[in-house]
Amino acid sequence: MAELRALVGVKRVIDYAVKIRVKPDKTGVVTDGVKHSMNPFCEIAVEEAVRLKEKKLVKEVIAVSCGPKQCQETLRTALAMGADRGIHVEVPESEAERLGPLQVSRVLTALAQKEKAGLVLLGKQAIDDDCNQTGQMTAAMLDWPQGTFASKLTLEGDKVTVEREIDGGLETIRLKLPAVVTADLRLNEPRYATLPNIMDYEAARALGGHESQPPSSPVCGPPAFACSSLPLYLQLVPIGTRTCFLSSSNHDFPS
Amino acid sequence: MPRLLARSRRQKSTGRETEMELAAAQLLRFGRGALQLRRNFLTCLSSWKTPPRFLKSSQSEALYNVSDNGVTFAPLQTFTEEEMMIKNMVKKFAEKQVAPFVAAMDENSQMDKSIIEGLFQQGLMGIATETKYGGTGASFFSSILAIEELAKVDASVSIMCDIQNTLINKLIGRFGTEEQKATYLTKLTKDTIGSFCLSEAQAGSDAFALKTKAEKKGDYYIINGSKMWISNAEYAGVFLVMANADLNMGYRGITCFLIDRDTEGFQIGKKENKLGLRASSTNTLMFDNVKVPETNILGRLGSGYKYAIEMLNEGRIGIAAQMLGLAQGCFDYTIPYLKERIQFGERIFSFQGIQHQVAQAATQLEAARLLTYNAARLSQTGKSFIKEASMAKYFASEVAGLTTSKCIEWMGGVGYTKDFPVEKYFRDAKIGVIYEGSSNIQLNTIAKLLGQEY
Repeated sequence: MAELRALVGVKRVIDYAVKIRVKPDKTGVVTDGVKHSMNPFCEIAVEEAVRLKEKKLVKEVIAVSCGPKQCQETLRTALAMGADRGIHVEVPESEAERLGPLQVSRVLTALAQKEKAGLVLLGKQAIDDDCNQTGQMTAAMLDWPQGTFASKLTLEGDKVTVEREIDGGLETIRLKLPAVVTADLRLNEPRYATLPNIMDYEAARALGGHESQPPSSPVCGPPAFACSSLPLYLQLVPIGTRTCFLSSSNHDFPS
Repeated sequence: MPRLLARSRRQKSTGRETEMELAAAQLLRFGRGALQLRRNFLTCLSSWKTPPRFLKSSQSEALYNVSDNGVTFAPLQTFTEEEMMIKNMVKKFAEKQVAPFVAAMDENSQMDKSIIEGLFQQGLMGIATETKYGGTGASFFSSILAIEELAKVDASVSIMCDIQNTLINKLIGRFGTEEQKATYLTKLTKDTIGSFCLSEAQAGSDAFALKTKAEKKGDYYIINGSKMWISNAEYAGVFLVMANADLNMGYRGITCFLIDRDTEGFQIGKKENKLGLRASSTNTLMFDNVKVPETNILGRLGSGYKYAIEMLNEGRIGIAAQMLGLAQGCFDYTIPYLKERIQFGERIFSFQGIQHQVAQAATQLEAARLLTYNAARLSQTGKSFIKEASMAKYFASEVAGLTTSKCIEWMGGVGYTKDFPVEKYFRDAKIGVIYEGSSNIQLNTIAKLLGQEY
């Protein structure tokens, strides 16, 4: 329990309060210059992870975000909310549109194994695509038990009790760690990043030095269906007194 | 739709990629990796520069910092990351924790305790105060943004935050001794509200005609007199009282005293029943032989007038921000209504008459915003900003009055009822042209400074 690491996935989406406009060529929605923020369900997941850390049930909370450079803003919010480390899996802007739950779940699978996470917390779905797939796919790829639509989470020893919101009402299941849990709306009320936390983060960033790390092994996931290679760069964003280091590694998704 | 397209694109490229292409791509990526390192190194170091808020192209941030001898040509509405995060946080706080209480607070003329506690907990009562006194240590601009965001929801909460940050904490922070700072700033950032006491019944715009006396008696000063129109008095624990230590010297005798709430002889009078800003208390204060130790003088004897002028110059930008937020909040509430309301078979927003009025209001609002942000940035960089601050306060308060009045008109009958928030914005806006230097005083100041220029 004190050794448990929680990996939390956060997605940068168009803010819920923004009025969505369709692009003139009808290929999607306008995202340029539009206000983005963290997916509300991801916020709930981060909050849950931070609460577990405060209860000393989780040792470290690692936030992960896949996408273009702007995802770092989302990671910063997660860090200011109380996450310990942030990992930005950078995807070039041109390929970011093609990034879907399958690719993200492969990334999360690899990261969960690399970081030796015992608990993967995700939002149940993203408010832009409403896929509701990433959590389930990640669990399948990792071959871990999953507790989706969690409205209550209790860690007991090496088991986690999840109360799920299902069509018929509430279902309580018990999973053996390591496990994947996706957060539903009523799991908790996320905190705002407090001003002192924001300042702490900014101070740490200003002080952070640089060390490079040798590239790590390539990501391999079970090829479900053909997709083109997406170059990835792993960067670690600092908080607290830890120095920041960049690891530039090239990962290919198998074609 | 986008996902189908994506799949077809993916399938196409799988067929086309050859060994050579893959190898070439690898090399490119490796090269880009090095560039990545360099890019991030630069942006890490230059976190003090103001990065762009929106990235319109997919190019790196480093390219956006078009600079010339260290001056960044960024639009005024460019914020640093820290400022962006603070702005977002205050916005969430205002919408979640303040909004539910706004109507009740206005009705009962009482600020809810949970909001005051919330302000302290979020660190909003010591935004620009140093961390060693429990403050947040952020920039002055951050406090402006916070005041603006709070005003979008409730101007009374905003003024409480504004007075604490721009007047009280700044005064003590700038002119207080180490001991005073350690005693009072730590309290002010944690749970004590401060109150700035300058105006009297006979001394409003003519502030330096104040008659509250401070007579020296050994190590103490005995203060006699009364103050009027004092904001926050109901909830404050520390009062910064401007009293005249030597009436013969005129305004050069005015001194600033730090008085605690429970000092003997100090009485807080009745709350005023106001038109607007009702949740913010405005009381009279009575001083009846109040003993204040000499160590509680802030700064130098007889320099009170100077401090007051200096502080009010910066406080003006805070008020400008408050009025700006107020007008923006009212405007943001009204426009969606205009797009919903149907008359003569059309949304009223489609009528040109309404569109022109809305465009005019929006333009004035933008102008007020730029004046305010520019004045704040000028003050931050240490450049002369008094004229700009006066202009910002004058313009923002006038615009707030005009905008809120128009918003009621656009909303029609419902705008006139208390069920909708626009009438509250309208009532709250009126004080903007009156307090912290009435519009006429601002115009005097601007004219005087202009006169010095030509």
